[in-house]
Amino acid sequence: MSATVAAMHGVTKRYSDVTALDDVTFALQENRIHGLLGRNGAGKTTAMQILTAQNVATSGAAEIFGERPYENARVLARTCFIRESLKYPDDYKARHVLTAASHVYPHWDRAFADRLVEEFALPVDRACKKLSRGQHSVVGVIIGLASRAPLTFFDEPYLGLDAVARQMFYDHLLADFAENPRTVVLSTHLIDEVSDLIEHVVLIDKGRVLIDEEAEALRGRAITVTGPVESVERFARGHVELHREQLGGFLRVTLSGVQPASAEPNLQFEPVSLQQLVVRTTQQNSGARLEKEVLS
Amino acid sequence: MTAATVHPDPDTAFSSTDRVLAAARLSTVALRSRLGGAWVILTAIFVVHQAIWWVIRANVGAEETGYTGALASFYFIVASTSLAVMTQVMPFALSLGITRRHFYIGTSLLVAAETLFSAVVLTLLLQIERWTGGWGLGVQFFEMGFMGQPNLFLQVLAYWVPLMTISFLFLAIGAVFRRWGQTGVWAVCIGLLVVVAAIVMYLTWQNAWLSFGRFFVETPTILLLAGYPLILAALSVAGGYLVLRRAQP
Repeated sequence: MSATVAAMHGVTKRYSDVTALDDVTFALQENRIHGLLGRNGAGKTTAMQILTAQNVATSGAAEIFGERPYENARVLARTCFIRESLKYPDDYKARHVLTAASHVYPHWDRAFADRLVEEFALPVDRACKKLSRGQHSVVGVIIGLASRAPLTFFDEPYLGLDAVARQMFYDHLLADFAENPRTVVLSTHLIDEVSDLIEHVVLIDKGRVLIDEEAEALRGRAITVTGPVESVERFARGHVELHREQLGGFLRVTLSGVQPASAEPNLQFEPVSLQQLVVRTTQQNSGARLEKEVLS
Repeated sequence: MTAATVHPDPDTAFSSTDRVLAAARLSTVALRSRLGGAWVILTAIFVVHQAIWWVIRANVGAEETGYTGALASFYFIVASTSLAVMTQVMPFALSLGITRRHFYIGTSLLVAAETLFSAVVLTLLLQIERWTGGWGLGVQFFEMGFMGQPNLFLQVLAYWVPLMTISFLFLAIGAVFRRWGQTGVWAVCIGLLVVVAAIVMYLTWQNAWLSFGRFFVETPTILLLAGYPLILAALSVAGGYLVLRRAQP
């Protein structure tokens, strides 16, 4: 049984010439890790900005903790939004930024923050403007984790971080999440890396929600079928096709909502990773190669 | 899925005072480099200023008390740190879930407190200047010819109000930048220019320059320094808030 912490109801956001969000509706459940996925410019950041009241919707309504967020200190006080593009004040050292954040959050864990500083080897006495891209990201990661905000958004928090540092972030997020459950929204391109982490997926493309489902359900959602063209064509008929590649007499298609058929000896079935599913679904949406109806 | 919605935890008492305080503390963490920076620059200006006067005195000999408006630069140096708070700290504050309102109140209170501190220090320095007969050179740096007030309380006010007013004005300009970017700041500058030009034209047209000048001579300096500027300060705070309320970082 879970309860809604944040929701968008038919939110549309229009800038003068772009529609960043187009009638977006989704809900985020309490104490879960959500993956907000999509390409660059899909509208992910805009969605998070509207939920944290940094931006306002053109129409529709956003709510967090059951209330409108805009200038609503009571609910905003329970949020933390780590943006990839966030600049810290020029003359602040990293430790100034962390101290400032510690004053804002009642549940700030100083010891945890110190440990993270040490593990990520963050030079806390260096001015923020002199931090490398990765160190800049580390500052955000530490704030996002140590703040223990009941609703925490990470918008591509890993820029400039190497694979080891990213894994450290995922490990800490998961470990701390287990001890201090809260609602986390992770917006990322590195879907393979986080696919074990996220429990719910919201995929946005061109301002529209393509997927809003449990990660578990999605893992078995699609399969690739490989085999002789004719057999594959016969098997694929009537199913939603997300992708197709042909090499000589062999065909490989990605199908949605299909169970492998054991009676087909010519065909090879493989599960599709979350990343593949997201990529194919997005491509299908862009190309509109097939029928409009995506993933029923 | 259920229709249940999580509401703010009633147990965690929420206090606006805490939020305003937290907002102000976002800017106090690096207080030493910010406020200290302004005072270091002022010290440098003072040293150069006195060195030049020392040369003048050495060349020309002692004449009547000398003064310049060099101290005025301090007002704008302090105010520019307010501008930086608005342009740089505000987006950070919003990321941490602080509202625009709380940020603006916290920052304004901080600016008021900081400028009061500076005013007290300036008042002390003015006393030293008087005791030492203008730093032994007959030179007024902190008095600037007209700053002197009959008592210490009015003296602090005479330094504080203009310092605070200019800082509030810069905060408001920072708010304009946060809302409309550089274009907005240019528009405000052009707007102010038009207003000043209109006043100049009006005074010229009405042949009112004499009474305009007389107003400044006849009005007690404490009213000019600590009275009328309060109107501008109030307008800046109110206007800045209205602008920032809809700003998106």
